[in-house]
Amino acid sequence: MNLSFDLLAVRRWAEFSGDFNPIHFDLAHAQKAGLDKLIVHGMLAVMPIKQMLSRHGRLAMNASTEWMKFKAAFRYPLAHDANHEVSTKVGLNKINFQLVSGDAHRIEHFRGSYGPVAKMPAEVPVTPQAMTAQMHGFTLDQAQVARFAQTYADISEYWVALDAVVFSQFMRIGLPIVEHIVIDATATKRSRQLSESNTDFNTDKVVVQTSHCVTVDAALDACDGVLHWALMPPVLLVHAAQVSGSVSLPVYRDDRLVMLVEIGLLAKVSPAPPLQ
Amino acid sequence: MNAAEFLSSSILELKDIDSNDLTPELTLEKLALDSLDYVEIQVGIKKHFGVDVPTDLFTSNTIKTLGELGSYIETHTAVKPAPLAA
Repeated sequence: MNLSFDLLAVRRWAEFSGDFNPIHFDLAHAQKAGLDKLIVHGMLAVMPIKQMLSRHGRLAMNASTEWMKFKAAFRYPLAHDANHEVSTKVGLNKINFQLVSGDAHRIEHFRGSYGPVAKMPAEVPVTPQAMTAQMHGFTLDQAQVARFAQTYADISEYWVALDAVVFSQFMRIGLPIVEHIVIDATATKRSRQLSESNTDFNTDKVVVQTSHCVTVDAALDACDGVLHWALMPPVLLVHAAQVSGSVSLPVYRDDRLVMLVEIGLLAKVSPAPPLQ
Repeated sequence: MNAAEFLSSSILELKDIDSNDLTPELTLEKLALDSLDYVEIQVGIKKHFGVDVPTDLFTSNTIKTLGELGSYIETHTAVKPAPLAA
């Protein structure tokens, strides 16, 4: 499978998902973030891979399981208009994939896997009623589901569409909540550093996605039902120069857990210029 | 899932490696993990065990093998207070 994404494709994904991070559109901003080119959203680039693995992968593995898990690690940014190749390798109980540059360098941009798993992580509430007070609950935006179907008519796997819709709602209403939590966490850490080193720090709002993982009910299809999703408290690792973490978004149909989206994030915390 | 099982499944997700090769003596250096792999493992450990593994334990070679990392997780999980009985 060969993949390439131009500015139009990137803009279309930004408009759908709400991910307007300037590293995708503004070269000066991308260069400030240490990149030499405009880059493609990881979520956009893995969408055709999810579709392909879901349509053909389950048959290849003869899986008869309750849950299927897709995982992608975003390791090196993809530039606009560049050609990339996706290769797959069937393992014992999963299909591994790799997305590499189509040139002679064969740089590994993404790698990941798709395969059956026995169960959901134990910490995820199995019903909305079991949600803790620290979780935020939201109703799935059905208008976004329709918008996805219009924009990405070639994506026929329902869970791929649902994943994209939940992600788009997370970008608009979940990420600001997570950013507040990150700022609180870094402020605590920074106040300790301030007292030790008298250095001022400033959170640069460059947040990048480092991984994307979806565990989904293998029998999930697009029949009727009320869908909700929730934002669990993020797990954060705060270091001097960066904050890394994982955000879990369980999805419920009626009263049952049907999907879990886990997003890996990395935010750079850079020293601010001295006050004039 | 105990620490060894968790580390095995995490590494199998990150690397195309035979599960039989994942012994406690296997060095992290031999796994050729990149910095984002380490971040992912550290976040996973925090998520499942509530344990922070500082990065300098890897860079200073204090933790060199899978077995040492597993022991660190178990030691630091054990010192957490047990939940009160209902």
